[in-house]
Amino acid sequence: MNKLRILVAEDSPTARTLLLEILRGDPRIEVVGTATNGADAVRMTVELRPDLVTMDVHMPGMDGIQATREIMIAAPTPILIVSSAAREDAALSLTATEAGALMVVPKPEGPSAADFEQQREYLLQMVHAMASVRLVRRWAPRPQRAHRLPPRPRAGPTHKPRVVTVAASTGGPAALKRVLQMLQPGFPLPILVVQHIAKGFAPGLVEWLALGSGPAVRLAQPGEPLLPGYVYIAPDERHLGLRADFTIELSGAAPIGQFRPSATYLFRSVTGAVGGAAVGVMLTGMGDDGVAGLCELRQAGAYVIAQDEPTSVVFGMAREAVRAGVVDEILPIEEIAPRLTELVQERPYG
Amino acid sequence: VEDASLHERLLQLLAEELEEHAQAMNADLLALEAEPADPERLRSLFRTAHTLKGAARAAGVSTLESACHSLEDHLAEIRDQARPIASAEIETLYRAADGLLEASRLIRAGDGVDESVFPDLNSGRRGAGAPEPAIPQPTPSPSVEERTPSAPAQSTIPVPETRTLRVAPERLDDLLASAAEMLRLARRADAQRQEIEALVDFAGRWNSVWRRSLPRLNPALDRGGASEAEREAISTFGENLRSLAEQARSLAQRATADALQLARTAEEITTDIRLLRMRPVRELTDTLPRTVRDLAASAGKEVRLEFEGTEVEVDRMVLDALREALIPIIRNSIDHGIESPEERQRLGKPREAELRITAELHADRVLVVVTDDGRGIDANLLRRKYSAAGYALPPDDRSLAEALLGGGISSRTRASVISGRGVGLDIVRAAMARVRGTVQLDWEPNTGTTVTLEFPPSLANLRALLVSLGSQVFALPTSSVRRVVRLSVEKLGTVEGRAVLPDADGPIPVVPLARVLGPPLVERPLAGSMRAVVMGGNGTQVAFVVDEVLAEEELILRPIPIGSRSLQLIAGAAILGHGGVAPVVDAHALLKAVAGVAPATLPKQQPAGAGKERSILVVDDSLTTRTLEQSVLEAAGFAVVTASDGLDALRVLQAQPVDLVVSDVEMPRLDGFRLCESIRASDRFRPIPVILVTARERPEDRKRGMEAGADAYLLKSSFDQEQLLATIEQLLGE
Repeated sequence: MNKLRILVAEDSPTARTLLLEILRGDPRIEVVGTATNGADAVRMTVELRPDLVTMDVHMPGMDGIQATREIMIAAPTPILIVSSAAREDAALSLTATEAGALMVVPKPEGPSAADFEQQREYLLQMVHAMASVRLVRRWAPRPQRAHRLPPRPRAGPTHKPRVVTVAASTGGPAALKRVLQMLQPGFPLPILVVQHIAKGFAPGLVEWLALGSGPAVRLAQPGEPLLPGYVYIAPDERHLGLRADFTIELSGAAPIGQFRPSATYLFRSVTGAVGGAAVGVMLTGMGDDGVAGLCELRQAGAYVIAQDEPTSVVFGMAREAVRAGVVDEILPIEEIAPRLTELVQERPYG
Repeated sequence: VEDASLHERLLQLLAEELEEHAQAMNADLLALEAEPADPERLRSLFRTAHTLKGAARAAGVSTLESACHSLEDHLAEIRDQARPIASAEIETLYRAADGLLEASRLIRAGDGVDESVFPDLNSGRRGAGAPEPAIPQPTPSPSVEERTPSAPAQSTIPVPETRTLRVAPERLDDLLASAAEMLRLARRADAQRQEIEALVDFAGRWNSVWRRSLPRLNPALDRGGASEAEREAISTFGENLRSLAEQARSLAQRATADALQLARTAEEITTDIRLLRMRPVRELTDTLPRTVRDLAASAGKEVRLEFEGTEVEVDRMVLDALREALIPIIRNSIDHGIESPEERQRLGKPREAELRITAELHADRVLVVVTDDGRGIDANLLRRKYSAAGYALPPDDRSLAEALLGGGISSRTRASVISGRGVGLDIVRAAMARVRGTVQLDWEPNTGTTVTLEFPPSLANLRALLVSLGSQVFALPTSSVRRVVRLSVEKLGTVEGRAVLPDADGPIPVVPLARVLGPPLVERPLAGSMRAVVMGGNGTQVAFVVDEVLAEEELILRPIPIGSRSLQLIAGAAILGHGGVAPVVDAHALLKAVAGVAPATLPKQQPAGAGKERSILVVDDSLTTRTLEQSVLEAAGFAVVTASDGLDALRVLQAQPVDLVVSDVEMPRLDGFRLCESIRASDRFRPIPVILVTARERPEDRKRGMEAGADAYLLKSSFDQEQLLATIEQLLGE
């Protein structure tokens, strides 16, 4: 088994040493280079063709976002943004995911931190997972071809939907932002979102999604009533669910398949609260979180949309949902928001 | 123990970073005082705070992290308001910079960092009248200062001169060489620890195999009528095996801890010694003013010498080279650039000319800029004089500067043509080349001349690209590497019989690195797809073909004993992670040496179907299959490139044109089906035929392959070359 070849881009020697120490402690990893600014990171990625780049956001000269953009053009490589989770930084890091970075992880604290082991484990886990993602050039035009799994649109939802539920993982922030920005103003349903993201980043995600146009985005608070057109993001370390009285439920129940928040929890809980009066959306992401819950939601009569493979960074969760036979329609990312608008207007139901 | 030592090391790094950034912060603040709305300086301050916040987090100093966070917020606010920064705010920020230095001192002294070392950031906004928060005055700690006489610390804390110790520089060189040797051993120990761990695994596995087979073994012994003594021996064997596995594990644990500890200690020692060799540029200010005074007096000029940034520290050897380079520059400036006091008065300039030397540290490069406010270089006069003597000078100023610096004309020619002009500038370039630096000459007629010297602060550590030629690894200094390219032989051109890489700035000669470095290295003919490193300097570029580009690393350079005359192209040796030694190529000498070797030529074109050679990408994770298919296809006249899995194959496709793909199905990372799908999904690659060769015989697999878009599906079990070649022929058509 070949070792993962990693390039580290970080301008602070202290932070860099800690990262290198963590990476080198893993025998399956080889650090092939270190860059201290964005320009070097781009150059070295092109020269060394690493399996993954860990990227700092603020660097002298070219910053991490521009470097990400250029790498995705010059030599598409999985990029993991390593950043502080403070709000402004988190928002900036998520901008890097729009530029093509796969995931954002918090900068680890030094070995004096109590949970250093967990932080180390998490970072390594992300490095291994993200290095396996295959990428396409950002500027490459999306091939216009028939979907491999042809869409099987039913007549439409059988119930009038009362809520939209969305699951997303790798590549999700940028996809979510696209969907929300393209949503028609005055969209009448509340939207519940589970996005897998590193601990500490959920508030930053909310802030970042709220930037610019689009609906109001909130970090979900326990017990708050759902308002039409609002987007509720699951907070750190809590399952997001829906109560029968149409208020938010946050639960500290055990993680499902390592995830908390888990999309399966959300879909299940929504099934319990409103039955099939919901739309389920499965966006880009690795793994299969949400599929089990989606089966129940669809069984109850909900309409399910999956993001298609060409526009997904990782066609994982959506692929599993398709395999499980619970997807009504597979759409490219830019067609999801218009379709949601159509769905809530479609009549008659049943 | 392991984490504690890492923690310690991170703290030391943090202390260094704090000093460095406090210095940068002071420089930014000085500039902001002159121009209070300079957005670049404000961004730079913000970045400083941000970087230090991250560093403090990595080192686990939470008080510092939160202090830097508020500093960052404060600066972001000023930045976003895009307003000039108030002088009271600058005052506060100066105190914040002092606070960083104080924090650095406390960390070095092993003390905690208290929030009170930072000023209240709101005080500046309350106006100049606000009372200054009490900053505890740093108390000099001789032991700390002796260990790290770093410049920024000195600017706030006077160094007690009497406590310093004089050491002959050679002794430091010896010490560094020994430390490097120790580092090499440490890295080898680290490599061995992995072997030990493999042994432990082996012993552990053997032990568990033995224990699992015991239940079957005992009845067998009963049936075979084993004696008591035989049973005893077998049970002792098992017992010993178990204890061997246990002891090996415990030994491995201790060896691992020691190896890591050793590696860290060796690295620290090396770094410390390297720092001991560092001297501030200020040392030059002791001697240069006298030189300037004497030269000016003999030339009848009036010159004021100004220094800036002399606290920048460089290696002792670099300082020597800098001194050597500065003297001809100053001499030229005073003799030729600076006008006589009378002429200056006539031109409306002050009688006294200004000669300014500034030093700045930019990441891993030092920039020394020498400027005068004289007449600059009269390029037309120079060209007239040269052409009168029968020499043509380059028409544009850029090339003229190159020529003056010794790139084009020998100094003797120059000296005989125009007395004095430019003499010695080639010495500047030579001195800089010795320390892997560069020289740039600019001028503005009647306004002045600027010479920019750029070099690394230290020679002992070096960033280099590691490349391989056969089993030998060579290090190419990154400072001379322009880019790394993948060459395919059909894309190369020929100029005067020489293989060249077409480029926007003119063709770049292509030369196998092995040819320039010479025997015993074995050179491969230019063929198929190759990796090359484009190196440049002094206006020339050459693409050196290597076998592989391995990594970019920070290396410790060790001198090679003088006397090895055959090693003219080698600047030194570097120790690699696994303990091997890589010769470090002297880029300057290497580029010069290219002129002396026979030009590389392209392979003779195929007589039949010349220029129509088809190229095939063979993808298989098994080296054997790959090589087999490659030889079959090459024998049939195809150009073959290989990839070890689907992901690798996509990279090759991006890098060069391929006419057809032959791929295995089961491969790591990206299998053949998915590779095929990716090719079909791409506008650019969709037309390329794909043949899947696989052991999967089930019809549904074949169906899956066809669904993925494969043009043919061949079974490995029935694999024969005729069939493969026939399929390829059919798909490529004619």
